[in-house]
Amino acid sequence: MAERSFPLPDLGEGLIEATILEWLVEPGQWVERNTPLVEVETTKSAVELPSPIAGTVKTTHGEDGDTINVGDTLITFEVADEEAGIVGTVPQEKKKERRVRLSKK
Amino acid sequence: MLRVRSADGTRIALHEVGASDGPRVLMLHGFASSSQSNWVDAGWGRAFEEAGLRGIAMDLRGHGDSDKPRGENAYEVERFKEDVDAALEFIDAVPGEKIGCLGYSMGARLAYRYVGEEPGVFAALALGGLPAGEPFEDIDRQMADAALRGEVEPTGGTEFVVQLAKMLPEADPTTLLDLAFGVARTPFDPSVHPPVSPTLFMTGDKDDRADDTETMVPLLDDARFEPIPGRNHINAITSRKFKAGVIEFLQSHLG
Repeated sequence: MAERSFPLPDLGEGLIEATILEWLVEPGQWVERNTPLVEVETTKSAVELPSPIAGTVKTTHGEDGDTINVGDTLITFEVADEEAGIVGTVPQEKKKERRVRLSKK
Repeated sequence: MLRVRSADGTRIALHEVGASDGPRVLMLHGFASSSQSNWVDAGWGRAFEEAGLRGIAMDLRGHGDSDKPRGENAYEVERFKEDVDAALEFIDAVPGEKIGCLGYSMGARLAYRYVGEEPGVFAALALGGLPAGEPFEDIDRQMADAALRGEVEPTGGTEFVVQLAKMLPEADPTTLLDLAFGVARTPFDPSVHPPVSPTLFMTGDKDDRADDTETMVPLLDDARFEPIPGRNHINAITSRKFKAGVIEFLQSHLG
């Protein structure tokens, strides 16, 4: 098995750090892609960060209440060897462009 | 996202949040926030999707993708109610359909006032971070404008409103001041037309901007209060407990 790590993403608005409010996963846990991983708080808001991949959580970096910088490692997953070495980021929720439907159902 | 027109012509943005099918819930965000920040970034889309709830999140006028008219007159409480009218006209509930409403802070206050005068519109009301009184009390427009220009250090309620108005870089602080002062012309009094729909109040137990939410419970026929453990006004929005409480409540009344 290999490891794949993801840093705290740029949360926009010139913010350089965030405080971990609460981890929602723990080491050893299998998570699906898009599963909420952690809640973080900035000076302006609170954000829930979803998992960028499906995999087993190996390490969560930082305890609840710790402040971490954008770019610092946030979470490490155990992945199959062929997936190692891929560089990625924890995605922020993208603005949804789906239209509100006109239908009743 | 789409925009509907309110009575005065202001375009109001509506966003789909959560499941594409299921009971519909109008979502109203807080002051100096947006549907994106208050709901989507905070994970309510995923939570609603899993719960089978279909959110329709409205950007309040002056916020997000809605128009941002200038001047305090554009932000009288009546204008916001007309915006909700426009959103509901779009939602166009079928007879017997039960629609819910979820509001946070200023959005919760708008929902409370709207339902008080339009009983029966919503089958259930979930209100987060709602103080029992008017939050924009004792605010001074001259001081606020001077503070935005960096000429004075604001004090009291004015300091609070200026701090909030400057929080979102994509928002125009002067517009947000117009909004706060426009809304404050009609001070919030929860004893006037309290909602008759089943209502759930939830507020962080460390929320010093809304530490009196529970005092509103006896004013309503059918209301209860649940604290959000360990959270304040800013960080309550991502809380699992908040989401779980709201979802359980909405599902039980809209199903």
